[in-house]
Amino acid sequence: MVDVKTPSGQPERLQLLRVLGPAHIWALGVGIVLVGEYMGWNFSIGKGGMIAGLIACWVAGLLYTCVAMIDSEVTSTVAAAGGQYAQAKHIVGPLMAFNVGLFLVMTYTMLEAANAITIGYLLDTVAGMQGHSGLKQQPFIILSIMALAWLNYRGVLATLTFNLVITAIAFVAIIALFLAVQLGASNVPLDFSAVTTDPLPYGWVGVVASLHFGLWYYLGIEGTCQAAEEVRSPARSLPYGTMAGIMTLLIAATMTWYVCSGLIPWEYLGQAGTPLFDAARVSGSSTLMVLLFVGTIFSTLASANGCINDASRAWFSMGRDRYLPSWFGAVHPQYRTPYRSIVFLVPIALIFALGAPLDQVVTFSILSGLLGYTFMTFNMVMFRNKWPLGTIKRGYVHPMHPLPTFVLLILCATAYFAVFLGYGTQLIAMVGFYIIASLWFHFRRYRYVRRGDQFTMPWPKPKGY
Amino acid sequence: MTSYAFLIFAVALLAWIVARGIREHRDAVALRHRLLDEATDVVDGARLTIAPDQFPVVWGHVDDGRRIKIELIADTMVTRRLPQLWLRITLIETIERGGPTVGALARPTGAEYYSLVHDLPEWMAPPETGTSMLMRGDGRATALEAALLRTRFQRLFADPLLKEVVVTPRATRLMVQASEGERAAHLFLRQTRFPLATVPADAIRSAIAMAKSMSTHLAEQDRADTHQAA
Amino acid sequence: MDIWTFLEYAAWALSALFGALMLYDMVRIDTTYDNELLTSSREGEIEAAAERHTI
Repeated sequence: MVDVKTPSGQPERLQLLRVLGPAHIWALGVGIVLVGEYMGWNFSIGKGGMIAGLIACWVAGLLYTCVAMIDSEVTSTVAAAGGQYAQAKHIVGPLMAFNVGLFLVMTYTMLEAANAITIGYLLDTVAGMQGHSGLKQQPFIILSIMALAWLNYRGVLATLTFNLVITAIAFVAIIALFLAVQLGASNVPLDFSAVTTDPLPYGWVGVVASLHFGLWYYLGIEGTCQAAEEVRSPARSLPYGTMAGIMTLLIAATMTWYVCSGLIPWEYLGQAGTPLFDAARVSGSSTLMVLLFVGTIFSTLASANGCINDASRAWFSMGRDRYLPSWFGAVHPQYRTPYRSIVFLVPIALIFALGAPLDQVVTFSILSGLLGYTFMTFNMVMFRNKWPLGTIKRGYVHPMHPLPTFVLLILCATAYFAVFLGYGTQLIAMVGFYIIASLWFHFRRYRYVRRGDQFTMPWPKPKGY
Repeated sequence: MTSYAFLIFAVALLAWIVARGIREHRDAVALRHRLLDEATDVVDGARLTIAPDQFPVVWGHVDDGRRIKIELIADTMVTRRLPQLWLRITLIETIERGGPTVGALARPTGAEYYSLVHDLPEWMAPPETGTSMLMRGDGRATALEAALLRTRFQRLFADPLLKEVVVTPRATRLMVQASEGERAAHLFLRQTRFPLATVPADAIRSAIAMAKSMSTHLAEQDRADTHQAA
Repeated sequence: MDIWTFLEYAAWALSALFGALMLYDMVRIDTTYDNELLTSSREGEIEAAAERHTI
């Protein structure tokens, strides 16, 4: 079960085992991404109705498949770990890397804020069920962020051993809910009449619009499956880990859609804060309610923890690369954590968690993610142009180039348009933010950047230089 | 009534989780202290202390009397990468060598806060090892010295576990990968769990051997230079 | 007092506690250690280590 590291010449079977082991599937389930089943996706139903929500779920799956293929090729070839940030440094340049770093930080920080909002909302719902209505959500939102930030500051979670059985509950809960409802455990029967009576309440435009939140089911998966090893034997075959993750999510997403759309009227579902928990409530079974309550709490906390961790590391990396003031690149001498970055990002998460409603915070996160995926398309084209096949040693070469790039670009454009439908202000605000940030970088930070350090890959001069 | 019962249950559960967490943290830290137990067999006159981050540090002597420092650094700083446990060997010379400070770092991400290479002022052409490399110096290396060091580094970095080599007038420093964090634990709660109880003595021995070979090579270089000058 | 109101106050108190702990520790570290040391690689050590014979 535990992998002894052998850098190269590792038998293929062991490689696959490393990727597809059951512990990893569970880990994929509960990590950063499954929280997307517990909240946020249902806003897609609000934008287009039940069928639109399902279509959005599957189209988003296609988008993420393209992301997985493109990302796997670049990741397997760029030796230094660090995700898209490292790729941008090697393939494009500092300004793009700066932006990509910001995309990462903003995606995860907004996701963290969304998780905190969900916890506050969930506790409010439970309090309401107990007769105490109007619970103040702020202290719980703040506590979630502060407590997790403190744990990350101390690096404490680094040493705990949570039993995997307990922690797989979040994934199991969805399956349990689905099976229980299918087997008739629900007081309220599944009702899909809206599919026939009111299939597309906003027409086909609604279907496009709902793609916006359809991405939420999968947001972050390109990062979740990518815990790179330091010494990698380049993968030559399909990125099994990521594909398994997408498949798992597709199944979970469809089950979630099925149960929630069947139990909750779509107009209400479109605005709910905790759709799965609400579905459990509707079913009337207290076992299911407790299960889904625990699942929601756990997946949101696990997700928020991962977000604080990843966002602070990304900010730290940018500080060390001098894209940001190097003050942020400090490591705590005792706890070995990027403590200044962690502390700096707390108020940012708090401002959004306390100041914006859930759907807007989710939108900000999705927009930053979308910008990252759009970057991937240009990155891929540049990568293949500057270093065509055969000029450098590539690990995985994804098939049918430029089809996935093309599909990804079209889907991203559709998603931007979808966001624009109803959240135009957020779209403009985000784009404005990145433009201002880029200008700041160009005029104030570029002079500190060490250009030479970027080109460490043993690649020949790019074609055309 | 039931809500109170539920609440008491929830608080008790939380208290149990916290208590268990504290206990596990203490156990994990105790385990951490034992990571370099095998190092005491590898060096003479070994003295083990615990650094502020609870990782052990071993001071000792190698067979020719030079002082050596062995330490461990846990690196969780790179996004999208598993946590790494680096073994750092610092071999301290008895007499100061003439010569430049030069270092090479494999697979640099920029987030290597423990690396001396990032602080050296001058970029140098890196050795060709088939992977991403960064080589920097303090500017005092002549072209010949740089070329010789590059060849030497190239041979050393054939070992994929080697992360960094730095030579200074006073010491030789080496950094190798001792362990990598468990994938599931990391993916899931960003935990850092290294699947080893102690760093194997062989790993420490081979790292020390590399440091010594580097140091010997430089000493021979110096002698050849003084012969030339004479 | 209602149990939920109590929890609200507890949440405020704990949040303040965690925030204070982090800020206090950050200020403590920033004033105790040299900034150079924190943002770079403790390289003072390789030179200093050569001088010291005991720790």
